[in-house]
Amino acid sequence: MRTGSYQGRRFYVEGKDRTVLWGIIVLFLLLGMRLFSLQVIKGEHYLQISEENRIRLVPIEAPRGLIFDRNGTLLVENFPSYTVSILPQEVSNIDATLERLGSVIDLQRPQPVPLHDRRSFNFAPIKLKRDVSFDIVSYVEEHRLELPGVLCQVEPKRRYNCGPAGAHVLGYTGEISERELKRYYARGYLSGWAIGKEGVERSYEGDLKGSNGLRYLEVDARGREVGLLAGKDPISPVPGKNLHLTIDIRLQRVAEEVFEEGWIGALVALDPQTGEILAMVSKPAFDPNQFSAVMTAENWEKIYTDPCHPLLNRAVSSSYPPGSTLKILTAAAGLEVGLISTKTRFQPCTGEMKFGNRVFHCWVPEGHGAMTVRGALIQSCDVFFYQLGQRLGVDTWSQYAAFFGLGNTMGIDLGGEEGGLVPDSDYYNRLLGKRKWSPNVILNLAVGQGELLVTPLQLAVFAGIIGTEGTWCQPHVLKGIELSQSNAMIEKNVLVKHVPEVSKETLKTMKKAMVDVVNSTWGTGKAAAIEGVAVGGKTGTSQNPHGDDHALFMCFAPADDPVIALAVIVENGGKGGRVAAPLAKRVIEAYLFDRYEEKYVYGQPTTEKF
Amino acid sequence: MANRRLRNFDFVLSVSVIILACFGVLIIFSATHTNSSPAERSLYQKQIVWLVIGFAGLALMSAIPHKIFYLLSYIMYLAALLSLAGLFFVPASFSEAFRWYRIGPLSFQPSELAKIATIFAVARYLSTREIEKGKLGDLFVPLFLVAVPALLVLRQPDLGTALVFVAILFPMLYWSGLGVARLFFLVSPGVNVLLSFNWIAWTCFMFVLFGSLYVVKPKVSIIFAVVLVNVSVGLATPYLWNNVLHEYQRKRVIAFVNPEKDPLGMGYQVIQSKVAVGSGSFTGKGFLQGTQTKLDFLPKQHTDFIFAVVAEEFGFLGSVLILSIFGLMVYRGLRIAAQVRNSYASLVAIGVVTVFVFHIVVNIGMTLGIMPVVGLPLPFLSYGGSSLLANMCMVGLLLNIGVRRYAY
Repeated sequence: MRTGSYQGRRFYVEGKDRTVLWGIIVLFLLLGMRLFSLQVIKGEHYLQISEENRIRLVPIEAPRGLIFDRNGTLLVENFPSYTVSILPQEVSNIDATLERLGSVIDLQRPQPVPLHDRRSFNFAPIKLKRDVSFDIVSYVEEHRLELPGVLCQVEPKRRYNCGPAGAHVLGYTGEISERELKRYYARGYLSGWAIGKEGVERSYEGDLKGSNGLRYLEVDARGREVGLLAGKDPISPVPGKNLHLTIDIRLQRVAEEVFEEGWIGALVALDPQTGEILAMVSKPAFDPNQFSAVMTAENWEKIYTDPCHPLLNRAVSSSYPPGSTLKILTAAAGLEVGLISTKTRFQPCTGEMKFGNRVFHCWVPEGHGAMTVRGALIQSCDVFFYQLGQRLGVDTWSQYAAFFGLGNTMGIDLGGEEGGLVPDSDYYNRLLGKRKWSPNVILNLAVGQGELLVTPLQLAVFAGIIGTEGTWCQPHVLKGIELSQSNAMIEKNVLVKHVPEVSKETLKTMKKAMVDVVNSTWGTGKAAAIEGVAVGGKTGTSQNPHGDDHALFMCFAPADDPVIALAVIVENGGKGGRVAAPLAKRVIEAYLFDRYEEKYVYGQPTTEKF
Repeated sequence: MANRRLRNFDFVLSVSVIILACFGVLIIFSATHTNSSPAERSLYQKQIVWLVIGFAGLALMSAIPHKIFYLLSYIMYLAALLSLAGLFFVPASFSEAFRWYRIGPLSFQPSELAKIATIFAVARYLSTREIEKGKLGDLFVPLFLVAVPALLVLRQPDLGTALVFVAILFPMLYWSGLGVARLFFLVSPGVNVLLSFNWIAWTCFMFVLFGSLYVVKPKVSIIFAVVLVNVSVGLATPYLWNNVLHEYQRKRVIAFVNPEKDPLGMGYQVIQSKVAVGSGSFTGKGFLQGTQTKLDFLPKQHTDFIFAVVAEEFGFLGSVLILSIFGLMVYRGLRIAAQVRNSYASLVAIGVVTVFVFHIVVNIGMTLGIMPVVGLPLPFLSYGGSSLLANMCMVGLLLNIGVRRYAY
């Protein structure tokens, strides 16, 4: 039997429609509740996410401030350079593109781009190669179609007009490191941006940096820029402030060239009335331009493994045994304490002297005979100062060293300043134990040997204090900062103070003695004598367990009103009088007589700004 | 006669559909108007063409007396199966991805019309049997009728549409008189698979299952079948999961069930979709002002995720309004199914309503992140010609049945 022909069966709903209707109502209510939760309760939250989705804030790096020398010569400027970048999200076959690019530029393969980066919302181009030549820029532009997603961006590059001249003062900039980024992120630094790494570039980073601008871009899901966001004007960057340094680049060049090729050493020339550093040399030097361009692994290797440490600023960060230069300190302390007068003579020098069971030698084996303090300084007699030191004792001596600013940093506006070392009895107690050291350590200290260490900067300041008869100035390399809008300049505050602990009389005596060191017949510093100018100086030849003696010289000129104080050290150079003094002479001459060769003078500041 | 038909014509249903379909064109325009490809930008025009074809289909389906459909049910079903199977044999130039036939400029998806044919076939079979008597044999034929097209569609692969075929079956069985308890026994193996991963939930479920078997006291053969299937499924699933499936397959299943655990793969769409919906807030960003969709953050925004555009641009108010129109449409369909006197016509109507409800709930549910992303279009709003045509035809059927609701 055919049950239910088409006409046959009748449908009875029997309330089933109610059940189905309730089922449908429940399902629709679920959707409605979910809508309410997403749109009404969490609407704000999702609205914010969708805004972040589409807006990319592109910070504009502010151009760094320029750096001038004391005469307004432009030392450091910005220059446009080209960077080849890639937008990974635009590239379907990264490997093929990179291979193709690799045939033109020597690529360092970028980190493989993780998949999530290609999809993340606000990614920016990845830099493939910085500072490429213009040929490569034109190649990339010409082959745009074959190289989708590859683009050339203009970036500012730091240019040091004088190459290695003044490199240690200027420092250099480099890409911000992971660690620096963590510290400076809040101040608007981004990965890949430049930051001052050494020198003024680092110590005045805050002024040079300027403040970032900002562009608001609308982007789509693939990170493509759709255009500027309507209704949001870009914020222009404020360029960094221009710095004017106390350095005279001409003098700096002279001071660098007095060092012969291959010499290692340092020179500091400053104005003893103000503390302005006129020239600061550390040899060997480096070219800071290397750092603003792309540093090849080879170059890094070369700089970092160089046994001479070219990046080290020896003028402030290296300390040396000062040798006889510090006999001035011993002599001044002796006069001040009243142990000696200008007429006092100790036992005559026979070339050696026995203290306890040890014999101490003078540098002249034949001996100097009996001398006053003046004579002992002129001829740098060791035996005189052994006896004076012994009478002074280590603590009195070190106290006077501190009056002259030795053994402590002076707060120069450059990083990495060393304080040197002026030992006292506490120091020896700590080092060797109480009563386990002979008081005869003072004998070595009194002639500038032993554990004593000073930096070339401290030595130059010391010479300045003697030359000015007691004026101590904080050494600094910044003269002033240009205000961004006008040409007005905020001068750096100069910290000047008198050294009250040492009497003018004593200082005058020392000054006279130093002039005699250079100008008298028997003076050890005769090589620094300049006709018509009273140069005062003191030589030093410091023994050095690692090799030949270091040659040192410190001086000031002219004696009646010094405008320049100077310290120079040539590592393993030999006798201070023969090696270091002539260098000082050439620098002083150039400065006093304004005698510069044409090549040392740079042209007017270029107008090319970036 | 004509007057009575006019009186029985469901204006509310037809107006709801017209509103939805026209609104769909606007939303497709909004979703694509900033697209970089001109082909994408002109999709709304194509949708208009399909809408016209759809109205023709609607008119046709509402004009033919449903007795004709009854007579042709199995033939149409066979034709649908052939067209589905044919996709695997037609040269690639005539078919795309085993889903579409190309006819001139238009692509056509046979699985859409296969849904209607399957409804016809199941309805015809059920209308000739007394399902309420609970004969096990009577259940196998409809099960088979939906399984064949479902598997063919699953092979394409189109999981969402395959699930629609399965979903049609249960309300139609219920509608034809199968009791709730027996329906429960029927779906129990499926629930079993899901719960077998949680030992406690599985145990509870088995207690409920055995308890209901005890209360209902069906035939021994049914008890035996239910227990056997459930126990074997419960034991086999964890074994298959741990020993047969590869790691990547397991990951895919997990990501499918919980896409947010895979924010860069499957979850990307869901997260972006939720952001689009949520950012619409109460009143929406305004027509054509949706940033998520305009800036291409949302994939498939003109097809499967079209509701996100609605929600972003028209907010909670607009979304609820659209949801209400859908609800009204579904309610009118259900009303027709309940009022009609003819068993076959009623079953067809409830089948159509089921298809709509399933599409609406699953599609909007996945847009809102509460359903797995299976890839189902939203009726009348999503771009897609075959889907629009099939939906219009189904509305035509509802109107047809509604007009003839008191006739046998």
